[in-house]
Amino acid sequence: MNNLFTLCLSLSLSGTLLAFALVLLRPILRQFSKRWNYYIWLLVLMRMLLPFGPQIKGEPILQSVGQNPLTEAAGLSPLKYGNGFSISDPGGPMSAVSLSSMLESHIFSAAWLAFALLLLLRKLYLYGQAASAIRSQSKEAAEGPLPTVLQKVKAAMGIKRSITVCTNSFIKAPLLTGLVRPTMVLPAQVYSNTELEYIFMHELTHYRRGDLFYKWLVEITLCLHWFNPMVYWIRKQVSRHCELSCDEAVISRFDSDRRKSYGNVLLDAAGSGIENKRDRLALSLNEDGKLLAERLRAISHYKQASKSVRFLTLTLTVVLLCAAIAAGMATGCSLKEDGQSAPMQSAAPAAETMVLERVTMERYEGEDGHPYVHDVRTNNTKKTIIRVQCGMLAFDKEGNPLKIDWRSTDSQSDKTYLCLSEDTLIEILPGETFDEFGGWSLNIFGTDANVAKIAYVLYCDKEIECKDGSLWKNPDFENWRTSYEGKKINVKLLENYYPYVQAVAF
Amino acid sequence: MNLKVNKISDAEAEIMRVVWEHPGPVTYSYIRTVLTQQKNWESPTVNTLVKRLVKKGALIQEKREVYYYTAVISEEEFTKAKTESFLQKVYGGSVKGLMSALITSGNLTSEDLAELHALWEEEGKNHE
Repeated sequence: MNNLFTLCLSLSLSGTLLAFALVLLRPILRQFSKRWNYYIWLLVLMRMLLPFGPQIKGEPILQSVGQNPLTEAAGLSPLKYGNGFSISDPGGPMSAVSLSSMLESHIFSAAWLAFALLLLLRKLYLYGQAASAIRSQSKEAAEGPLPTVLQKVKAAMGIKRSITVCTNSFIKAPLLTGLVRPTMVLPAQVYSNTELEYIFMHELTHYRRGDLFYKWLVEITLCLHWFNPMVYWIRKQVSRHCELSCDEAVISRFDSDRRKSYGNVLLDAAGSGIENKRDRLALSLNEDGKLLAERLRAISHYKQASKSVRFLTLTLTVVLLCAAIAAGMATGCSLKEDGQSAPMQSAAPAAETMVLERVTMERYEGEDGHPYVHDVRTNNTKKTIIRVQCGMLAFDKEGNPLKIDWRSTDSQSDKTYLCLSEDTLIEILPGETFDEFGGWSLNIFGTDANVAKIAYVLYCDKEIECKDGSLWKNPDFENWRTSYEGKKINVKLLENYYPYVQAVAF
Repeated sequence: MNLKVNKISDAEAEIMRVVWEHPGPVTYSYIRTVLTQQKNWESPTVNTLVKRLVKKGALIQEKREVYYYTAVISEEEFTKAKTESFLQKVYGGSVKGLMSALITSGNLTSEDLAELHALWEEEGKNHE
């Protein structure tokens, strides 16, 4: 849930950037076909809906995992998924930050998603209302010129699906409705056959291209990106180009006489739907009027795209596709895998931790001095620790694992990679760094040649018990064990193992 | 008005039609007679519908020697309200773009139309 909202923000941002690019290119795009202008918005919508693009290991250009300029502005901090992420105690100063930021992002994500779903449901409901209102007033035209001309146009266009045609005395202009059962609805009046032909050609072109699906895609995008004003503008552009490209498709093979006829049909359809309001104060055409004017102009100015324009179209499409991917990379739109950091680091931003500061090989002084492993720990929890059960692994300077006589039993068969030690004679106070002289004695009898080879010793706590009885069992211990026990390890990793921070939760 | 025109079903509208067509208040038995003759409806059906209309506030019930019924709104008002409600649902704005209409003519006035016709004539001349 955490990343969903920030992902949506990234997607929204990159889509918006792409849309801006299209706005800037308008003078050039005007030369392109209306069809291209209609479908290019699909690229923007896809950019906004799908996290596609190459995954970036490490950090994308503008941000780190789960964070981008938008989320920073929104005051959300990045959330890393590590192993053993603990729920911090709301009391402490550092842990308050992580808890509230976690809550915040949960709240944001939940609120955004809830609102998006609400919008979608409302839209579906209103659409259902509209569709049923239309249905209730529609009368199917089973015979006469309407179905006849419809059949003729369908045949000419190669459409086999059965489409009902109805008349309706309430609607203002012919429309096509129904995703599942496409129905042609016409205002109840008298039509000439030519008029019917053009009306059906227009509507069937919408049907054949699946324009209703495209429109619903826009609506879904709008629901998800309800906070982005650009998307509302994009909807308008798609809708505008939908009609323009539909006209373009219909008249592409018309001579100028037929184009004139077609324009007349549009005007007549507009005429039958007017309201006689004389109290409107607008001095110029409103939205609907402007669109119709644009369509009429486009019809009379129509010409086929030249070869050079078609080449430019192709080039620009490819450029925009790359731009879409680049925009995504810049704003971090891909779903990221967990980082490739060292496997067992449970790096939670400020939680209760037990830090193994360093572990070194020492030797007691004197003739009988034997080696021992000295560890330094810091108790970053709020409790007093009285017992620690810890796993230990030894490696030579090349990183090879070593089997050691950890318990000085002086027996060959007791050599193991892993030693599980338990320290009960301790009392580490909250915040205290425990650095007592001494440590884990090795090879007291001096019979283990391997001990001399030890260059690195890795520690990982298995269990920690506190004075008040609370216990922490490290969920990562087995993981640590399988990663390191008996395996050759990269020396760089061994050198940088400490300080080893363990997120602890009682 | 308080009356929700949408809530009047098609069957109930038939009752209203009988009341509208009759000058002055009508008796229940008149309504019943007309509808059982014209539409073959059963008496209890007519009864239920009339009761519902009174409850919805579409008919006013007046007790004289028998019950008389008057329509609260006229037929014109009813049709107008129905049309408005229809247009609101279909062209209301939210779902306008979701139906593929030949033209979006929802808000054009006759002046707009004149302007568009003029534009079209201009274009026609320019391309001759």
